[in-house]
Amino acid sequence: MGDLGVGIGWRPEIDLTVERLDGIGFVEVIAENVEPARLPESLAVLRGRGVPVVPHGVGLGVGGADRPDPDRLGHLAACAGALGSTIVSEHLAFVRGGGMEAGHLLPVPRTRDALSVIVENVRIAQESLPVPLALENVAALFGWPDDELTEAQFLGELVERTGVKLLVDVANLYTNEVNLGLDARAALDALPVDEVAYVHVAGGHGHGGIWHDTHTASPPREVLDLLTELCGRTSPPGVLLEWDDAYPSDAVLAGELGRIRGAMSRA
Amino acid sequence: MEFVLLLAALAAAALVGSAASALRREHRRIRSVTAVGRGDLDHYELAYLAGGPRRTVNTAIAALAARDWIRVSRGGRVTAVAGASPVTPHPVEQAVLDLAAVPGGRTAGEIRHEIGDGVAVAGLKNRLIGQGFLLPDGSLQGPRRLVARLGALVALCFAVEAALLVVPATGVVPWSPVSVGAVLVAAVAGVYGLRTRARHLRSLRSPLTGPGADVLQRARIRQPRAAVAATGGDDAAFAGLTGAVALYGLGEYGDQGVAAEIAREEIRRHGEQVACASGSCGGGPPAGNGSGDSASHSGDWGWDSGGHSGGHSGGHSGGHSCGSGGHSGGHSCGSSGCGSSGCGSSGCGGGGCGGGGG
Repeated sequence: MGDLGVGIGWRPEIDLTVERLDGIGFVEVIAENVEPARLPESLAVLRGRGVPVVPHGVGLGVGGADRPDPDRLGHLAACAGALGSTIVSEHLAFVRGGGMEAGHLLPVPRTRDALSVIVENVRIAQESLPVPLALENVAALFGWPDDELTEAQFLGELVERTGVKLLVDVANLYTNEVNLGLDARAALDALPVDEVAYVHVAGGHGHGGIWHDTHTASPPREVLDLLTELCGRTSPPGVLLEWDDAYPSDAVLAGELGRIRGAMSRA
Repeated sequence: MEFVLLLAALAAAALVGSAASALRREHRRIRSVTAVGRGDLDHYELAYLAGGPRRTVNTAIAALAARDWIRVSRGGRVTAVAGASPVTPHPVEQAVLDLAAVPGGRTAGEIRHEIGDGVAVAGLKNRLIGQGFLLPDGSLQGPRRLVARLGALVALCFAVEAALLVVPATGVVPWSPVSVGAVLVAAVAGVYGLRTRARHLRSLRSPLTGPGADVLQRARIRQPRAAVAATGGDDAAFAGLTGAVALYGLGEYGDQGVAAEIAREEIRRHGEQVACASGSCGGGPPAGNGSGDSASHSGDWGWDSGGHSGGHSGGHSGGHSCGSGGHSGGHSCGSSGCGSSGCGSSGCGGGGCGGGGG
């Protein structure tokens, strides 16, 4: 997908801000929030300027036992088509089961049986999509018992068996390090970083020893250090700031993008 | 017979003249108020005189956006800027800040509707009435009735004129100086009545008293029309911008992209969302410069509650639901739309989500 540069998550509340920020290389839009037949004017403006737009799904649930919903895959494909995207992204997550929505992006059991199911799900998704798929590592507040693989091993084998791309969220790696004691740098060492499509960076809040990946605050230094570490291992095509609520001023958002560029340059 | 025609013309002309005279007297009477106010009105009082509730609220939105205390996005959605610490003594500004701070914010149209009918603007309006700068509600009913009566008499006058032309043409009465004079009298009276009616109809759109019009004119002389940059950085620059928008409308706002979104009206009917240019939704005054609340120099902004235009969406929609695009019962948010500890309006439709990080 070429060199995307530094981007930001496009959200309706900050559409004019995103349009006006200097040096935006690409944006990401929540796929479930757009209708391909009626794209928001702001996305059309950005597309008109040649800014790549990546549809980012939150509800496919390739980590579940059920096969991916053809309607959801069709929507993702339609978004990619309408936006002229060269890649779509989703989460390696479990989001529903038995007709019940979790309402969260839950971690998957990292067992070989689960991996076999997910490999098949990813292949089905790839066959339905007109462009490559990238999967994101999620932040977890808990882990399943009897995991047989680390997250990096699980993702690595998934990449090897399906050719799926990686969307590495360094904020999620940090969250899992704080909350679950999982070594983020060890994960970066083990991940197939050459398969990274792009990177997520976000801020959050710590409370009672738990890190909440809220996407509503400035990314902490630790998250940017992880970005620097990642950039020391590979040159990710793009790095994107996620900010989902409590949006600060345009100047603050521009400053955050500057911090990300600074972290990348320190690698 | 010619004298009967002349008599009819004179009678019609007298009726028109009498009605026009009564209209002038009544109009002059209601505008002739002695101001008890100080005359040094603040931006929002001047905005109300210049463009009514709509201009007042637009001025507050523009002023707060220029200070980076609120953000305006496409569609006119207004949200609070996190990290800002707005402190304002003005109730209209505070009312806008309060609505912008609710989850998902409000559209500018919704804000105009809610605040235009709210306590802050009502208090401001009552102060202006009490100071003698604004006419009390209902003051223009008398002149409006007289305008309607004048219109009917003008119609009568032209009916008489038609008869005066038809009767000689059929040969019943020969053309003579008297019959020609009758035609002229009726014609002059009709045209005079029409012009008088049109002039008063225009002026009836303004609810300002004589002193109100004077104080507005003086303010416009002190601050002539000139587009002001959205951000100047200091209090004087913000005051200049606020004053310009108050006196002349959003066309004076330095950032016309933001100004267009503030002016935008959004209405939702039966779940269908329709965006429409300002002035075309609801009863707002006609847009003169595309910014939705421009007004003539006389404070001619229309009257009654329509001045702030309809366009209320009928309630806040609550963010941007995940699962749109045909995914019923969808995973309502998850992260990327929100973080692991709850989420904002973008990805999650206003609460009810959280969990796994994205």
